[in-house]
Amino acid sequence: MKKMTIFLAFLLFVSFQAAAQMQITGRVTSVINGEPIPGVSVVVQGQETIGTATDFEGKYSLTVPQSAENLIFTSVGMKQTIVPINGRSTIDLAMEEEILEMDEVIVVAYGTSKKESFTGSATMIDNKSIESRNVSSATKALEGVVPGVQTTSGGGQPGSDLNIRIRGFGSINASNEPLYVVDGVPFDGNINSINPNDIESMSVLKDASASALYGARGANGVVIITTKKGSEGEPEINFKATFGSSSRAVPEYETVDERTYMELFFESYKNSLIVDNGLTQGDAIDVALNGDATTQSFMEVLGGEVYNPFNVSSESLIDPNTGKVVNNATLKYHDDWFEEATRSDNLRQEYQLSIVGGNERSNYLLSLGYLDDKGLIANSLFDRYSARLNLNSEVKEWMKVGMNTNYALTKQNYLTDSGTSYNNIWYSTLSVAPIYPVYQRNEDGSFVFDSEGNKIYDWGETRPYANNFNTIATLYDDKRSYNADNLSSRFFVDLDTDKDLAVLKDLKFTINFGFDYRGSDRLIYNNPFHGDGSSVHGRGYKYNYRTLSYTFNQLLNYNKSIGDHTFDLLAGHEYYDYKYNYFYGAKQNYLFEGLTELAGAATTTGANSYENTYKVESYLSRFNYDFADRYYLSLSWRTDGSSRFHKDYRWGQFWSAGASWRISEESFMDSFDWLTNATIKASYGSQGNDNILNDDGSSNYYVWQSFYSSEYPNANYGGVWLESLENKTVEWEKNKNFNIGLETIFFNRINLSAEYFQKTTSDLLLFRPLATSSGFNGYWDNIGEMVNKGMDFDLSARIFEGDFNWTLGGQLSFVRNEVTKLVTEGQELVSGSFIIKIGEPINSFYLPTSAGVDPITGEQLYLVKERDEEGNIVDERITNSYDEAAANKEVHGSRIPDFYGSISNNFSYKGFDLSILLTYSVGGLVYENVYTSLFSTRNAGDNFHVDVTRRWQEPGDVTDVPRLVHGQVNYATNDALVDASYLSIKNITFGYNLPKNIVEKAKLKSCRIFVSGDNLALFTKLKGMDPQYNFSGSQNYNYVPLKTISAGIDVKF
Amino acid sequence: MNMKRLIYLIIAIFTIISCSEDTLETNPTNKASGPVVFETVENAYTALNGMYRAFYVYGEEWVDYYEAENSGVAALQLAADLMGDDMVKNEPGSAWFWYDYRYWVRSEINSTGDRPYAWWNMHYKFGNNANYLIANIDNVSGNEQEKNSIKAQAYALRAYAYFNLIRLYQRTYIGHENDPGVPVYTQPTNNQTEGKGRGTVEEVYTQINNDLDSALILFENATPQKHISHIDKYVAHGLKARVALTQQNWTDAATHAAAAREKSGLTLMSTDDLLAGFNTVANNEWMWGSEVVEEQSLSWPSFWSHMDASTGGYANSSRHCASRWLYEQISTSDIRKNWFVDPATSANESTGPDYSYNQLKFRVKQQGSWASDLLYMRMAEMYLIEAEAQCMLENYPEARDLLIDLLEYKDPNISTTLSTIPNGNTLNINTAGPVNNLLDFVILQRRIELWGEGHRVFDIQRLKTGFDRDYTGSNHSDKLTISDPESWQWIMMIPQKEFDGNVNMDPASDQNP
Repeated sequence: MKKMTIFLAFLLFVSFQAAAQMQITGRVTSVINGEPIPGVSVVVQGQETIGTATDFEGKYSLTVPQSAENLIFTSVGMKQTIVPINGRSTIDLAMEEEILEMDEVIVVAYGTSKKESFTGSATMIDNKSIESRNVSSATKALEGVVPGVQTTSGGGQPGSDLNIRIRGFGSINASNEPLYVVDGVPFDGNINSINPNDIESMSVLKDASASALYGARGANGVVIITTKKGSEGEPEINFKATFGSSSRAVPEYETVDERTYMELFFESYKNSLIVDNGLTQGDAIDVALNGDATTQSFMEVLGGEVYNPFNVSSESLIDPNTGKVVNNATLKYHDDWFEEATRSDNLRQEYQLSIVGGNERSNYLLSLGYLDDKGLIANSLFDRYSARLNLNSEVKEWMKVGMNTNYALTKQNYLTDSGTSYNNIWYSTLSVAPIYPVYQRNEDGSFVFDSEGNKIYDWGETRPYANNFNTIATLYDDKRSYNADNLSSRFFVDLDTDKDLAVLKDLKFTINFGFDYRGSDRLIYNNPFHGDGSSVHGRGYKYNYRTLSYTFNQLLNYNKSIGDHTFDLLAGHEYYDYKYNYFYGAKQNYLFEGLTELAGAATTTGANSYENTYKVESYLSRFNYDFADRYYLSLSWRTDGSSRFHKDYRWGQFWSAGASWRISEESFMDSFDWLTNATIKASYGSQGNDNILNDDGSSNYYVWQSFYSSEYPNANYGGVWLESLENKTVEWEKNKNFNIGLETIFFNRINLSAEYFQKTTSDLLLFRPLATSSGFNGYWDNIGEMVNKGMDFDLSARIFEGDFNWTLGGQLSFVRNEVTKLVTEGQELVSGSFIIKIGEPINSFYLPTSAGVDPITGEQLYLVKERDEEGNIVDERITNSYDEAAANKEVHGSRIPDFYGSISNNFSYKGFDLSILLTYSVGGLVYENVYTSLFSTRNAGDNFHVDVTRRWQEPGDVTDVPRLVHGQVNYATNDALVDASYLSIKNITFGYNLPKNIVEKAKLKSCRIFVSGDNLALFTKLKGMDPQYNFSGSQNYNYVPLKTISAGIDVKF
Repeated sequence: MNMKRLIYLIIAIFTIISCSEDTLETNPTNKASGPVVFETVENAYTALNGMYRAFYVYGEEWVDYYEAENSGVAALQLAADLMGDDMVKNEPGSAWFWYDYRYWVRSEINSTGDRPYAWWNMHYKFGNNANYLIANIDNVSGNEQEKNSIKAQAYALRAYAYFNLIRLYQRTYIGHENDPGVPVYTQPTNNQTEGKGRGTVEEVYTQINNDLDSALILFENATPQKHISHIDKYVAHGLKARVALTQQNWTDAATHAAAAREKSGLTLMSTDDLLAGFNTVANNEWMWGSEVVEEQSLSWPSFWSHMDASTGGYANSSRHCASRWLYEQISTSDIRKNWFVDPATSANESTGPDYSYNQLKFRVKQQGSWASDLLYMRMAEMYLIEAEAQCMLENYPEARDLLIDLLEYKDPNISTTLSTIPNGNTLNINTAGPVNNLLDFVILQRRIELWGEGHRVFDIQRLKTGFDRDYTGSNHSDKLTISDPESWQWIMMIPQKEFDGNVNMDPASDQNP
């Protein structure tokens, strides 16, 4: 092509030599790094036959007629630039990158689409915004960059993925997770096995028009991940290294110090002697301090004098008159449990090497990556070794083939990070009272050393909290590892029929085959000496999981343009097959220290295995029509047969219709110069969801059948137990999705889009209740209905362009959720502190209503509303009976925010660039069960929050914290709900491209150095709270999200 | 390749890989379908053994949370003692069973983790599994005696489940015969099954007795007991005796308790065995119990973890102690005094077994293993039932003989003690009263002998004594007193889930007060 242009230019030069002419020379470079750009087409405006192209140095020379006014510079990936000649003979140009280029073609279901012709709702993010985030899992790069997508924080466990929800909640009992598609094929591997640096783009499909072609599995939206490919040209080698270090992104809850703890516990225990044992105040103080024949003193309850951290003995530690620790008491020692759990070498390092190259017919990409992410806590780590090879070749003129293979080995040492087990350091370091030492102490508070001079852990033989357990020691002595081999491959054959054959002209046939294999093993080892395993002299669990899934599809594509009409027809067949194998073995009674595998243990305590299979067969079709690049119509249809359902109810039909109108292309809009583009689009359609879950969140593949579980052996006799009732009619959950949107570009620099959506999920799988007394609470049936509606706004403005560039981005979304149908009008699905009820959002909080603390007695009071049969409140009164309050729980809002979104700023100046990403969420509530647990007086040795110091102490005190009574239960009320609003500085990246001359001296193509910070700050109502822990709005003792500061270098040569 | 061949290829590929409908048929590999279970008598046996295994499964079968304190029948037995006056939980520890001890559970009807739901759900699941067996066993191929054995056991298990239900969800039989009972199901459930109403207490007891009678008849022509976890004729007699005792049908109680003891090889346990920890089905006094093998043991959530403070389990920081008064009633010459830590010699450690009155009756077979067996019925209970019944029938000499047989080898002074106790059968003691007559003595011995075996709260109800944990010198950490013998406090409310799915039950009229 280039040769042709030059040849034409030469011809023109010859034929016009009689006319007045001038010669123009110049050099075209990149505005970003000053590198020359070869192959830029330079033509004369109005006389496009006169032109040339730049050489490898970016230089050109062109003879133009005197009449020529402007030169047009065009190059792939660059913004077309028109430069007035103004009589100059030298015209150099620093070309800008085409910012819209990436947006123009987006990856959609089974292909790509021009953005302006796309009738659905989809957002595509490119590799730049992924690479700027130093994340170990690609899902974490989605946060804050896609309107309508909500994410959890994902926690700080190295290698952890986060969960995402696209436009609200799609289901109650089935999965709410989107479908992940990698390189055109649904993906069943671990997302964290994909090296984020290998990703070219991620598309998030949000409405029916975009995702109906994924029918059965598209109801919760689709995330399409496309990996990088090779390209024609001289091989390019890219090396990138990043180093970082982490700390907590969410601060610790504020808990009391030793002095306050002793005072609070003493008071709590003393009060229990009054309330439960009927002692007088005076006697209670005396007995609490000194104990008597049948009652322990407060210090005995806390484990005895050995745990008194003060230099004053416990009998005289508390002043009986004030209840305070006496003034002359000083601390003998102080241990910080969390600090002891933290590792000092929490380095994150990542190395990337990629090589890209190719010729006219074939290209390749080879990429290697190594990640070592150590996390914050001792012995947690995530290592990934990844390799990708992508080959594409045009083997015949009518045949293209390609393959893309990724192998990743991931190794993870992980921690328990939910729940209240003592081996969860996030629980134990927070909830242990500050008086307990990590290491054994002598009476004077100094460390006790063993014969080798090492500190000795305090195992807490008399400690009421975590008896015979030391959570710090467990970090070192126990083991939890997870290793996975991930192998994913995609193959395709494209048969592009010969253009000469009239009948088959424009017809293309593609075969795709892709598989995902994951073989993984998990080991949990509890050491024989202390902690969980000590009672059985050590215990080990070994799990093996093997997942193999493949997708095989055949697609026929017909594309035809007649005049202004363009037709595009797709028809295809797809088969998906998934197999999961599980094996588990457990042994106890370990022989030696250091042998952690099962071979090292004597007694088998468990073994189990099973296999799950799941298959889907599908036929699909799409019809796209485009008239004059102005009117677009898209129809799609798919039918899926899922093995999850009975054969009479197996097949589901899914479809969508979408249309868009580029109103700015109409002639009547010609006068609106400032309006670069305006598109109105609308779509409607249906999708399905068959990903029904068991109670524990695992997939339920056999939902309609009646079974006896075979896991009920009685000693040496095999045993089975009736587990489920049959319902043959169970079928798909269906999702009707309406979307209307407006996309505009003003002044060619401000992009603004707004979309409104309404998603109605019907046939929700619910348990149709039976009387529990029948032996079953119910059986699965398609009953419920739920609506999500909301809007997404997306703004991107290039405020400054030139040497100094500034792009501002803003996103705002909101979604309203309402459950509209359950089995019966009045049905309430209550789960702990949550309720699902008609007319309320899913997972609304359902709690007794607090009426404060009785100023006379210090008891917690509750507000009880009596209702008549219609549900009208007929009486309101205050009670101190929790039983009554528990029977009159109220709905108190939900986690769903009023609105949420992000603000991003990207600056560049010469070689410098700076980007800042903020995310925010306003409204919604969090049920702060962790915070409230720090108010519990039930168990001795449990820590208190500093807010406990507000407690009621004597008649007349007006406060919201009831009196402390040891051994009592503190019931949760709506007081445990905290405003969920937050602002987070998600990412700041600062980079510098080394100047050309330096780079060239080093014989490099480019070199960039950067520093970057992730999760830099979080502003919330309550210190310690992670408002993004989950979507339902509770808290857990989890691995807190990490703040990571990194620096790196990115070299191309 | 020419184009024609290409087209053929395209068509061929489309046709070949459109798979047949059968491809989409999948079945799990770890579950069996209903029809398979009822093909042969061997298969049906697995459904029976599954029910016995359900006596000691991890609680996730019964509840959605608090699984650790819902490990089946042993957990119910422990709670039943904690809800009485003879067992003290000295501190909450991890708080398992603490709520039972402190009476904080009965109204948690919305929670699928708490007792009202757990016990309702558990026993009705037993009932339904039994119904499937009873309905299908006649059509199963196999030996008739085997089938009789299975069917008899299913009847007895159904009776066992309903007997627990009626005692947990309604006040005791006597005086409440015509009060609402619990729904009774005798047919297997399918998705068209409609919930039943409460009926009356009398109807429930009629069903229980009919089932036990049916079982006893079938056992006459059945294969003998295969495993001690299986109900046999003698256990069925024992169950019948328990029911009769509750119904104050003294003659039946005495007859069946006596019949239950007739099993060959059954003897009272030796003094060595009395102190060996109550942990093995090999004990020759045990009539019915679960043999827990290592692989099926429940570790932390097991009965043993909750009960034995020497194992490093939950009991380590939450000791289960004898009530001080009861301990002091055990004569110093009685070997059973060793079931509890002597306060005089105890160092009162903050954790572990060395704590005043802490129980040592139940101890694991072996440290480092949770595989200890679980006890549901033993011979001593039969002696005590019969003694109580004879006492009520004023057959005092028979009652005295039974007590001597049961106790003499445990306490050599028992004859002397007994001789000082006058005949009489009006009960005087609730928790800490004096022993005034023979019935008082029988009940006291019952409290001592069966401590921790799951009878106390039910005895308090049927004997209509109420209880008082606030006696002088009480070591209870919660000094609750329930003096009203007709109290609802120890009766669970019915879980909301039941009303959600049962058109024949209405919370307004059918819920317990």
